[in-house]
Amino acid sequence: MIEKVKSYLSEIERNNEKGKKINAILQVNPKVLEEAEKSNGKLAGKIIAIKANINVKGLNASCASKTLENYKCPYDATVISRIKKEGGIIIGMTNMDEFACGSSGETSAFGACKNPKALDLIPGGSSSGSAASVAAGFCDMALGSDTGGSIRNPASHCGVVGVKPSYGLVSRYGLIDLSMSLDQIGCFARNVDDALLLLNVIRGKDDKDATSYESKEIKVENKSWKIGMPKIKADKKILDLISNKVKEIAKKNKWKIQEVKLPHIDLGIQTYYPLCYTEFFSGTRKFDGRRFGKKIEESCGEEVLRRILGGQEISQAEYKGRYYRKALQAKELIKKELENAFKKVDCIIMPTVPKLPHQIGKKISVEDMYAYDALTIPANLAEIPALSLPAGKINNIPVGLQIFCRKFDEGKMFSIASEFELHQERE
Amino acid sequence: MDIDEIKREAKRIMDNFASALEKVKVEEARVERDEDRRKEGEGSDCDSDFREIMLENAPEKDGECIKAEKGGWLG
Repeated sequence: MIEKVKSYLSEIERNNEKGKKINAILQVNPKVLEEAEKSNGKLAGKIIAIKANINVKGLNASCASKTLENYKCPYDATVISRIKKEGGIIIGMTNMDEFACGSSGETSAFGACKNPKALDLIPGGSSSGSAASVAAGFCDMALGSDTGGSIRNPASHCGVVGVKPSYGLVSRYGLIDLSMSLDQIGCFARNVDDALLLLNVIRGKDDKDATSYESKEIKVENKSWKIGMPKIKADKKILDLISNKVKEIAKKNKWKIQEVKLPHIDLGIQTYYPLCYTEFFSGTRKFDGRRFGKKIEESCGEEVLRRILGGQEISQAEYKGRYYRKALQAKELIKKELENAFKKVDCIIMPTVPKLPHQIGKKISVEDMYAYDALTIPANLAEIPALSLPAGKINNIPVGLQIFCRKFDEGKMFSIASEFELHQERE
Repeated sequence: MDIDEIKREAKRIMDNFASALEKVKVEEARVERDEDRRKEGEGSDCDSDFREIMLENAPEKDGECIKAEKGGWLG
């Protein structure tokens, strides 16, 4: 076990700050070798990296921001306590978009993270470092957080498995909020089995998070599934790749494919951002520089400031119910549409991201940046589980396939994902 | 960074998004509970070194107290 940790540490030493300069790990756990010696439990021998917005006692949850650059976590988040209890070995804290505000991994105050599968391209975000760490071979698994696609988007670009659980399946205690009504902690791994193993350890009711629920062990089963495919807007090459992959696997397994209608799915971005701006503004009021860190408005980057100022503006104007309240209504509409779709099909499959990643440093508009999450946001709005797994490559860039299932139907989602993965391995 | 420009851009984006949602006519979800009080559970003690670490994190302190001048954060 110690040898395995040393091998990962050597790889980090070779390619994180030097060599390929992936810049995925912000801090290596100085006690990792000591902790590895005591590893025992369901996660024994598993090396795990943690997104820098989750509290790990004694380490720095900087949120990749100058605001919390020197913030030392005084406690473990519930997910971390559960990982430690089952022998998971925490190797370090990962880079991310600052305060999870971004979809490219470029807004980190400590420099952009690179995509290990295509070094000049973005890895996606906001959990850029977690996805890149798994893809680069810096760890076995990683934790991230997903508010509008922040796990699935980088999982897709980096060619790894990424899981956003149902809202309430995993405790958020110890997660530094982006938008508390949408945030969920989830996992990255190189295969579906490892992602399931980690999710089974971190899930479950927690008295410290009133929005968490009791849950049973998630198990994979072999059945004949009915797949729903909606009409959505995306790059044609990506649409073709996903559609062919689904048809191929459905034919092999004798699954049925049915078109599902989701007429309001295109309103996802317009619904998500007013909720996100408002809740982020509210959540950041604690970063006043008095008890810890610096005052956020004086130390953050442009995208974080945009969301704070925008959230402040629309909170002040909210008496007309034009922004937040209207977005809550649209959220309900999208949620009901997906619930109705799941009466007809077992899952919905579509691409994870509608376009290929851009070059690091290339200027794109705010709206174009937000558009990366167009297909991931609906799962957060509907509070349902979603998983991204590698489906193939276009121009040698990984492309992810995304599976949605009904709320708390993670077992079905993992079962379907396992079949896709099995097929990929045989190819 | 031009703060006024960022504020204007954020407002423009929010206004565009709000316009796109104008046609939506659904009531937002309500949470209905059988009880009017939330169960708080047993609670738990924080780690013995929590205080020490938080004092380490404090930008300014005076012995065992975090120093936060009123004028420093009101403005």
